[in-house]
Amino acid sequence: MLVGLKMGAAALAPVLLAFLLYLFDTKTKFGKLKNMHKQLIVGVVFGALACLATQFGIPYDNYMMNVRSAAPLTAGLVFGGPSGIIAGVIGGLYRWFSVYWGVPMYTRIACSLATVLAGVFAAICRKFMFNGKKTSWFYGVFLAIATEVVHMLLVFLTHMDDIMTAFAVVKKTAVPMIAANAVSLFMSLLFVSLVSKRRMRKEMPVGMTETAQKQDKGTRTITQTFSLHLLVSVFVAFVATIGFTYFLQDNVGNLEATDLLTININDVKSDISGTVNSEIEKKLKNVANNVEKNTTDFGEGAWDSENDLSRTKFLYGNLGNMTEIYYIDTNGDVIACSDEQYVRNFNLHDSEQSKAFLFLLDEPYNRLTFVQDYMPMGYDSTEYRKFAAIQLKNGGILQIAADKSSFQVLIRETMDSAATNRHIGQSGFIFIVNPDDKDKPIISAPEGTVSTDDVLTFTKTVSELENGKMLTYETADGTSYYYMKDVVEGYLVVACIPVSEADFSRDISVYIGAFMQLVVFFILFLVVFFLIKNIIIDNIHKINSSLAKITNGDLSTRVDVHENEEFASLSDDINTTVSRLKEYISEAEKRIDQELAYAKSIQHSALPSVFPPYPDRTEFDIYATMNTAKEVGGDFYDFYLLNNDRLAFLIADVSGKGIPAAMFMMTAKTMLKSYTETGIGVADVFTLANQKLCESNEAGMFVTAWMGILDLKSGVLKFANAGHNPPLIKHKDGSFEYLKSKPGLVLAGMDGIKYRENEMTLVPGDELFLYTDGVTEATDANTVLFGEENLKNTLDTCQNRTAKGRCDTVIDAVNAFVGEAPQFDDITMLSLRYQCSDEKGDEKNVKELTIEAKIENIEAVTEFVDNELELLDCSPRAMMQINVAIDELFGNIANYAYHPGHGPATVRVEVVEEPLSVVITFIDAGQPFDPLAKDDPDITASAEDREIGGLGIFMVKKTMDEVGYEYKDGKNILTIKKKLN
Amino acid sequence: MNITKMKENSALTILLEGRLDTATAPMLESVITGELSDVTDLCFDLQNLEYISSAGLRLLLTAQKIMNKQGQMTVKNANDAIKEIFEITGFSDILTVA
Repeated sequence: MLVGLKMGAAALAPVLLAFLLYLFDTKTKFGKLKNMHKQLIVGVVFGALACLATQFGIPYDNYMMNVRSAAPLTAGLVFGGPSGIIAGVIGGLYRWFSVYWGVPMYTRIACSLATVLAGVFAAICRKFMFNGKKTSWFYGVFLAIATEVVHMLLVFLTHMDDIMTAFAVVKKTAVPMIAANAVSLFMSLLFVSLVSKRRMRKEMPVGMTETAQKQDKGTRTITQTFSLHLLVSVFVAFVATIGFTYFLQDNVGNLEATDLLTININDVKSDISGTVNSEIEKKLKNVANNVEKNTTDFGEGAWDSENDLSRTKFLYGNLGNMTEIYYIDTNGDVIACSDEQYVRNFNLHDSEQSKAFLFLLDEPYNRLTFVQDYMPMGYDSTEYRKFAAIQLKNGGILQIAADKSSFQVLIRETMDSAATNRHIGQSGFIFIVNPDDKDKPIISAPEGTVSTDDVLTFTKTVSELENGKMLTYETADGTSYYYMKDVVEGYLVVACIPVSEADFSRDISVYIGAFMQLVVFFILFLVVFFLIKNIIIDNIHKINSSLAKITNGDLSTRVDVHENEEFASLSDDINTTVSRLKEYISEAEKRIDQELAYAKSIQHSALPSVFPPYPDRTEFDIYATMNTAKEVGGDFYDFYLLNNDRLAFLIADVSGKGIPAAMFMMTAKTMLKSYTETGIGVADVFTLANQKLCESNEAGMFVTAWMGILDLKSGVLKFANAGHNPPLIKHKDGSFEYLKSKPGLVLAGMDGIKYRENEMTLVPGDELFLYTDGVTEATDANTVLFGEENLKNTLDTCQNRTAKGRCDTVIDAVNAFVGEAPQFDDITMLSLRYQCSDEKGDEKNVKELTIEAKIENIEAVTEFVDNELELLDCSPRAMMQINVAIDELFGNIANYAYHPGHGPATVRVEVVEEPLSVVITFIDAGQPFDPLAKDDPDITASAEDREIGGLGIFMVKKTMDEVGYEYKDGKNILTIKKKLN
Repeated sequence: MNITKMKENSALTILLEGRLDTATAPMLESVITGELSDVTDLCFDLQNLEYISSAGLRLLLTAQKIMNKQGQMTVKNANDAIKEIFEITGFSDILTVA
């Protein structure tokens, strides 16, 4: 009990130390040391602990026990291989030299070596099994047991010549030492892992902790499963083999003990009976000789009954220490006897005991003798006698009988000599008890080995024992004996052997067997573990990491694990699957692309896309375009004439993109058109359409829309806005500005909404520009928006004033702005220019403006001409050149024609087809002046010498295709012609 | 037409926007005749100039003559149409067009 407590305390020391050092490592500056230094410090500290364990061994019976291996094991498993080895070497060296200050010599080599090995084992396991990390208590216990078993085996190995002592040491100390070391490792690793888990939990966010715990509980790694199964099956095999060995060795040991005892008893028995038998034979021969010499009583014809008395007397006289003498004739009848009551009164056939002698009568004479064992008498079974007989020369046999008392002295002497110095095995003995003198047994054991009292108690229990059977008996001092008894010549002979000696071979087989198996299983376990880890786990990890890449979308990743056939085929299968998947995906993509292309063409064909849409209508110029981000989009525009004098036009944007948006768009477009065509107001159209769209809007989509209806005669525009971007409006002489009106809610957003109708009047020359947010929210590579300001500026600076020109310019500007960045949203726009129907009246292609010739009016003239040009497909360059020409020519008229006064000038614009050209005529009634008559200026002169005059007309000549002058009816008529394409 | 002037020490950049023609030329003329006295480095930025007529060319020539005496002058960011006018009128030989 006390020893158990001490061992427990010793086992706790490494636990405490590990716990403290671990806390130091995590909480103090110690943790920041270089790993090399840390290992050294931990190694030395645990080495010192191993030394202390050696110095303060715990005495148990005659042996010293300690918990030394736990120190290097703990250091190695918790803190790292190097520290384990350092602690092991320090502990081992100390144990080696400790014999000089009193630590027992006997297990010096084994203990020193085992301590070093403990450190080495820990280091190896940590490196190869646990990936250099701390391990669980489970493996720690396992390793501790293995190390101590090796320790015990080393004790045997170093004392092969003295196996008994070695065995005695191991038998006493093995279990407590193995247990103490295992418990120590169990606690160290458990505590440290608890502390580190708590720390990790503290550092982890709450959610993470839960998932981590789930993983902890839910799954087990392959190595864990393997080691569990391996351990269970190994344990079963271990128990089975050890049980079998025990059983076998126990039986063999019992048999050997029985044999040993039987042989010894038989030895003593044959010693005694041999001596008695030869003595009785000697006597028998003497008597036979005497009988044959006495021819008077036993000669021919002497067999009448008158001589019986004389023969009786003769035989009696020869009796000596025998009990009886018989003379038996060839018929088996007793003819003469030392006891006259049997004379002619007994035949050998009369009793079972005497029948044994009959064979002597049948055998031919050869002086044969036969000695019978002591036997109960035929007439009295409590009386034991020994009979012997011999053939006589004249036929018949002579028989003598003896009882115990006959050879008492002889037997006594024989027994003494048989018992003296008789050893059974090493410390077994024999004792003989005379039933008549039970208090003084003959004991063969050396004095002090066994007491007379023990033998006497033995004797009492022996009486029930059957001859030749073996029993166990425990003496007062606790030693157990196997014993066996027999009765020789009436004496009790008992042979004994200590159980420990008899069972020694069994015990040592079991111990060494168990130890060896533990070591073998330990190695097996390590090898299997290592192989599984290398062949399976590592490869699975490789495959997993490749699969993770594939799962993240990198379908070009290949799994490449070809170290063994199974994994190679798995890798190939995965690669094939992935490449198939890639093919399917690309096929599906192609198909979807194709279908989307169809969808796009259907969607686009639903929108008016032929421009000019109404070639015979001159009151307005309309153009629209849609460019979808995906193949199909949610934007749309629409326009149509109502009753020939009203133009409805709209732009809209469905929430979302792709197929759903496109389908919703078609619904909305159809609905708006059908309501509009009923002739109701634009706000009512929105109100009705909203109601209808809300009814069947499971997808929760909505549309923003801006719609206007323009009365082409009066220029009255009625419009409504359902959450759409405000369009831009440009009045005839101004610049573009946003047409802000209070918008209503989006269509299909909420039922029961009423929309507001707005009204304004357009005059010829006014323009409207409708767009979706795809324009203003187009983004460049730096995610900067194109913006409303940019859109307004683009329109203002746009040279081409046709509806198409506006749209194209905006598209160009957006594309230039966006650059390489991808298009996110549909880009849709609609441009409308309202122009007076009278402007292009009957004089189809000629327009005329008469205006006072003043510098200030150049702009008005330019505007007038530009308005005409914008209806044509005039390039900005041509327009600019024409503008310059107007500036030069009209400027000349203003400056010089009526100098110093003022007068009117007429400008006429005429469009000529084939090739499309414009002819502009300037007419004034001023002084005659032919600008073409003047020579061209020298354009190669230096700046200083350059004349500025004439440069304007020179430029006109150069940029126009034709320039002509005539003076007619008192008027200067200057004509220029410019091809537009 | 808009005229924006940016002056740094003796360097003057004149940003012209819109049309430089007979009507607008006097605005620029007042700048050239009145504000170049201490300028050694004159730059016309024509990025947003839509077109130029002979009245404008006359002013550029005047400015070039002044700057020939007191420093240098450059014309930059002219659009293609304006460059073409410079070419036609031989001004590209006189002006430093960047």
